[in-house]
Amino acid sequence: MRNLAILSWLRVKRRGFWLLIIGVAIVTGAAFFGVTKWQLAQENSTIAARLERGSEELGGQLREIPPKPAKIPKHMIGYWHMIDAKEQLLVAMHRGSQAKTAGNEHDYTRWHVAMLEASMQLDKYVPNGAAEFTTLDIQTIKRQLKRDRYLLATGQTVINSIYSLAPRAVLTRLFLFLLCPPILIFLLLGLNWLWRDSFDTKTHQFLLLHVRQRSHVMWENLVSTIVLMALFSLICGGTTGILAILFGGKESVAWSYPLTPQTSLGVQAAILAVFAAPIVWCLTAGVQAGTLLLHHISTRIAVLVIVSAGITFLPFGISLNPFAQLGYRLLDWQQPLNIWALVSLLIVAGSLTGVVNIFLNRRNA
Amino acid sequence: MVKMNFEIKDLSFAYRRHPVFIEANLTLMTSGVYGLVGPNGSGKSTLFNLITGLLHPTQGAITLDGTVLTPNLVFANVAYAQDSSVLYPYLTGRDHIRFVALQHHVAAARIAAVSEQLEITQFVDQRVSSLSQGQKQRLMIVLALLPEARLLLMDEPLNGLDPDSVMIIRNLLEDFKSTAQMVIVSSHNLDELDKVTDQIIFKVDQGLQFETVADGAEARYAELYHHARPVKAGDGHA
Amino acid sequence: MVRLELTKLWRQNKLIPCIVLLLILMVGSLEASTFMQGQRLNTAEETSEQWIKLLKKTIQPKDPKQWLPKDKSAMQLLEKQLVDLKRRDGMALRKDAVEQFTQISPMISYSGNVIVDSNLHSGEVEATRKELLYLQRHNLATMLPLTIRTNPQTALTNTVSVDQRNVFQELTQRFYVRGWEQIWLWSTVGGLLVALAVINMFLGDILANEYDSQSDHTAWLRLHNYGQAKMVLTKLGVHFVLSCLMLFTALGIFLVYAWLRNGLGDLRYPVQAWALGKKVISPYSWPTATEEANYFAPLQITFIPLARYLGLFGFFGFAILFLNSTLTLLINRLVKIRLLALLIMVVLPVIGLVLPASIYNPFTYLNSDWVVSNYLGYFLRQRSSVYPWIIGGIGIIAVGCLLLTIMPLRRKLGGLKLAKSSGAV
Repeated sequence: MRNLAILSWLRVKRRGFWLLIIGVAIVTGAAFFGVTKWQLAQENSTIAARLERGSEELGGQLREIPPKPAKIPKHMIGYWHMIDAKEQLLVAMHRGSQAKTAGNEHDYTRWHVAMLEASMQLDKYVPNGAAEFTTLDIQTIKRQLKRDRYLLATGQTVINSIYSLAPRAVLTRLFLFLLCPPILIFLLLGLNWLWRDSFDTKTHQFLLLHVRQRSHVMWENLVSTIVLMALFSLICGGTTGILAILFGGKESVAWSYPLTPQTSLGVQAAILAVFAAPIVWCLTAGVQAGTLLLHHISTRIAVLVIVSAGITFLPFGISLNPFAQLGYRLLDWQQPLNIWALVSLLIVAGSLTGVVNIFLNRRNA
Repeated sequence: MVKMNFEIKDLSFAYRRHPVFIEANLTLMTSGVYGLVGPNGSGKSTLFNLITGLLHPTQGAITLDGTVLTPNLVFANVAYAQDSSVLYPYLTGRDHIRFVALQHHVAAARIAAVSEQLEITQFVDQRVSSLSQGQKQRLMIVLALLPEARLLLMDEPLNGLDPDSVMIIRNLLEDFKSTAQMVIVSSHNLDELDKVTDQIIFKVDQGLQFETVADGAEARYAELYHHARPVKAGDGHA
Repeated sequence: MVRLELTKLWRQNKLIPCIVLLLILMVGSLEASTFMQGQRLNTAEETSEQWIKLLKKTIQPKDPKQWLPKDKSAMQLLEKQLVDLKRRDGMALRKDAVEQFTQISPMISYSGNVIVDSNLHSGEVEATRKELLYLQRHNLATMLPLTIRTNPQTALTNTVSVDQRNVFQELTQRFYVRGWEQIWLWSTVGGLLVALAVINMFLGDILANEYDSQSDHTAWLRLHNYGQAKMVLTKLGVHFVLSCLMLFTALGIFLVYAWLRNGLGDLRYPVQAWALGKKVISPYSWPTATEEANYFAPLQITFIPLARYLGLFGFFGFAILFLNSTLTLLINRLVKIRLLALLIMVVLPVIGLVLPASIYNPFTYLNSDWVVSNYLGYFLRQRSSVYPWIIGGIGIIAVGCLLLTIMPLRRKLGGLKLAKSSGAV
């Protein structure tokens, strides 16, 4: 195995594959940062516009209100409380919009809390009254208020949807992206070049003749691919992280950021880390099997991508389907990954490796 | 000559619907150099691939000293100098030698000796893609010689070699006559083959036929292949 | 040379699997649409029944015989809408909807929400009315369920509250279950880019595979007087023609399947487009109604027949395929590693599906629906149709790619010729 690993390293070195990996990883990391920045900018301008539109509508309503009397009649107390809440909401939305436009995320978080508090007040007097301006219903307001108060207390800022350029958040999302099975299989088709280079040419005969057991070739390739994937992820993550630190804006997100009441960003990242090696193992075995079974590279890519995308996105047995667990999180990262899916992932990975071993031993080279 | 028992029993193999061997048999009982002769595309390389387990027979067995050859046994007992397309073009000769030597625990002194013998030291640090056909051929033979396997298979070792290199290989094969190794050499260069051995395995139709050719392989080749023959599995014994 | 290329591609088993894969995606898309439409219609029936029951309870007086005539007619219309929905009768549903638009609060959704309630621009309500009138004029059945017209960025520009998001989706999500309609759907969701990714999966290495395994397979062609420029042009021709052929073969088979499955649909069906037009006056009474009805001014929402839309889309598709062919050759020329070239060519179109719309995003200009319907004209604040400009732009870029692919080669050949003429070779 050690000798095989040295040979693999020599092959990677002599062919300049390591340079290619570094190059592609930097481009991918930079592109991921760029696209996220772009998406986030669009999202922020939409948020600012919505807040502005909501505050304009509120302003229009409040303009028609007569001046507040010095002494409020008893039966009008509730009405004037509602007007007060609307005024607070107006100010909070307008200031929130300004803070968002200026990119001042801490201010935005403060005004977001103020907006939610005013919405809560308003909803007390008019059921679902804030929804007209803020698009938030009462349950959402309560949930977000709890989260935002925690964020304010811990000096963090709000992530509105799935886009954030705070280093921890963007890195977690990057790894969700890299580990999304249809994307990962694409990466592994490239990163598992060592296997393809041997088995799509006659050079594998040289390897097979000089090993005691053919499974050594398979295991070594598996380890090499995991190492190359780790290298790729490291460089990719490093690039995105550095760009996020330098140009990411003023967001502050800690590992304790509550994605849901049950899950924090740190927990999500930790579970993702636990899934990383098994999913790479599983899909590498898939690519190995594909290379041995499907002679034509285009057909191979098509089959592997379609099968992995199919298993990922078909809406069956999602909770125990590790592919679906990883795939759907890319679109909805707040939901926690089901750790039990890891068991089925390990079973599938083990079975696929067994299949590759059988193919390798029965193959007519 | 040392006693050995290499046996091919009822070997059948086909590429899709094209049968290459149908219940072919061959028994070689002693060490030494054997020639393997047959027309282009008759299945000489296929036989070597079957022996080394790179191809799997549909039927039959190949044994060495009574034990069926498994990948583990092939690794320990068989060396194969095949065509040079199995080398990684972007690696150097030394990269390949280092790998094979480490895998088979070959001492540095032996590497040096074999490299000297095959005269590859001048180009051993060049990438395979930049070597000539003859240089690649010599490198392949070095890689096959390193493990000192009991059974050595050489597929067209004289292809593309200059006269000096041919002489080196001829001397090498002469040396094998006095060792405990069994060497099977496939070649179209019947003149050269005649110079090193008179024990020839002919690939005839879908079978193997072993003969000791006193009058030279060329005359026998003409007899065997220049006339149409009925399809019949052949048996050979040494 | 052409024959040799075709033989190579045939032997590499690229053509049939590509067609099969395209076909699987097309049929899968149709089946998914049909399945989701079935689900939506069933839900619509249930919600409609519940809503009618609820509404009956709220009308005063309780006795239906004593209802006011307007309440009675409104309720009758709703019940008729439900019956027609159950019969899946698009023609009758269209008539009901046209009638709904004579009411103060038209209800074309099945959840009891009036369409003007859901924070929609009056421009969208106007567009829906126009579409219904178009359908009536040509006596066409509506697609099921009947939905309101939105623009591609409605979800971004409207303030749809959380509790109304489901209603909004129900009001706007269309299901394209017939043959021609499916092609229209693909145009709106970036189907052309998906098709390019699939085609590139098979033909994306057409030039790079000549340099695979560190050996230049083109060397022997050059020996037979086939220069590299000639080879690139031949490969371009083969790539372009085969791309078109494979796509249209798959499309042809798909249309036969769709015809047998749900029918092909009517090519006169109205498709929303944007063109310079007179300002409209909204009949709705809120203060900004007329302004919102003219949201796209100076452009206005207009309707063109599906045949025209598909024709323009088809021609746009040819242009994109040509650009793809030239780009493939250029990328292959630059990246000679076969696998890398192949992966780049597959990933490239897919990136277009995830990048946000922006004037800085080149894929925005390749959004077939935006180009054909001229929504891109509004996006770029143009008064006239951007279609010819985009086609022209694609042509220029394609030729540029081709020149970039050939130019360095020509220089090489030129060098060779120069050397020959000076007697050095």
